[in-house]
Amino acid sequence: MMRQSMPARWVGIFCAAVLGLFTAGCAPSWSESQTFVMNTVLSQNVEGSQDVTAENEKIARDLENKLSRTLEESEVARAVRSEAAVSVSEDTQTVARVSLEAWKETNGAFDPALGAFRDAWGFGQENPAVPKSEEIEALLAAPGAESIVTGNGTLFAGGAQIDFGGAAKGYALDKMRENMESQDVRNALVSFGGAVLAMGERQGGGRWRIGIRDPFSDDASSYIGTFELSDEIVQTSGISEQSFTENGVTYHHILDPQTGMPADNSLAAVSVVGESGIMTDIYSTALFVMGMEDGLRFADEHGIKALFISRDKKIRMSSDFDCRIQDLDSGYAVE
Amino acid sequence: MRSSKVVRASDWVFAGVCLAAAGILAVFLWSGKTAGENVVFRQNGKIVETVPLSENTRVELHGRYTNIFEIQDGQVRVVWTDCPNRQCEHTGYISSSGASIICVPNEVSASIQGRAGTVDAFTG
Repeated sequence: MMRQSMPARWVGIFCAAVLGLFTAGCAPSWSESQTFVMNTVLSQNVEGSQDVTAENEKIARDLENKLSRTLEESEVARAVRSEAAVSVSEDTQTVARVSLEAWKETNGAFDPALGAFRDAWGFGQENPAVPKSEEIEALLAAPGAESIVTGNGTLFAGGAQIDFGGAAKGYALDKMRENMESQDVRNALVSFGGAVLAMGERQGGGRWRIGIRDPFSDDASSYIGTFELSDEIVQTSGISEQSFTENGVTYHHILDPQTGMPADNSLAAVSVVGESGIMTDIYSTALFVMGMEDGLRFADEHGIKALFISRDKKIRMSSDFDCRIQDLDSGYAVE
Repeated sequence: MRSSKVVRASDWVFAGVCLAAAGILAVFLWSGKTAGENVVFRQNGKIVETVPLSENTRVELHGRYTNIFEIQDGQVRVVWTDCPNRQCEHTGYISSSGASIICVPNEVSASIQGRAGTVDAFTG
């Protein structure tokens, strides 16, 4: 039997120890990426190759090309222009079907036909402004979600100004998760606009830590509290996004379909947690429009995990909201 | 007569010392990567500049539009832009890891990275 000399053995052990520790420190590999799509930023931190993040970006871009109402050749834009039903992809049909079901389920609080209202207000555009009341009256009388029909691979707008902006990003997150799961990606964090998909654990172990942005702070990295998230999606709708001020009044971008005006209630933001991206996207908007009391009641009746932040800095949670809020800002109170 | 054991007690002692030394070295090197917070600037998704958060300076990013970022006293903000909606300017400032200022029209972002133990992402 061949025997090593003592120094050779020590060198071998030392090298193995160093190699082992550094290998453990480096693996597994994570990929980061950022791109701009659907008028927002898509940021990814994925335990996997750059191919995975590139595929996710392609998923979002392909969906934008189908669902955007501003890209002239998108399926939705073609449907809105057409006086007849147009052929659409399975994705567009799914988003249309789920959106219409949600429109009925929420009694119109979520409305996928507010495109003309968004144009009138100009949210996210160069010069947002309060529309004239006559313009809003005319839009309220125009065809709405009740005119939209989908099925058999087609979409019929019926004169409605379809806008799937309140569902498309959530649906895209669902498709990205499907893509990652099919490739055995276990750990990932994907931020898309105000939505976050958390899969598995963060780098170094432990559940992902999500901060709920303070809607009143000038510091965009200021949060009212944090919670841990794993294998779920959180989406938040609030007054701080795309707002503008005119004649001393600040207008936020979440429109009440009943009035055509920004939802005017006691809420500052609503966060919804769930496994479905498209439903968290839809419900966060719908619950905001409903307001604190009606929104809480709806969330409890439908088993939705929702957190409501009022303008007087009070926090209330639906009975199914099971995320423990940590690091709570002392200016906020949980009721 | 020499021992016929391949691994002796002294070897285990030495291996333990080596492991401890390597561990300390690894922790030292690893912590060195995250001790300081940096502001990472991206344009069209690619990192174009990384600046320590502790450095008071300005960074200009030119694309379809222009964004002038200011890093001052551990805070980052957009102090000037000619982008159409100027939402990046209205974002205010950021001061802790995990936070970003985004300019969608110019496809530019500034993110603070580096301090462990803070949030991984924001919602809202």
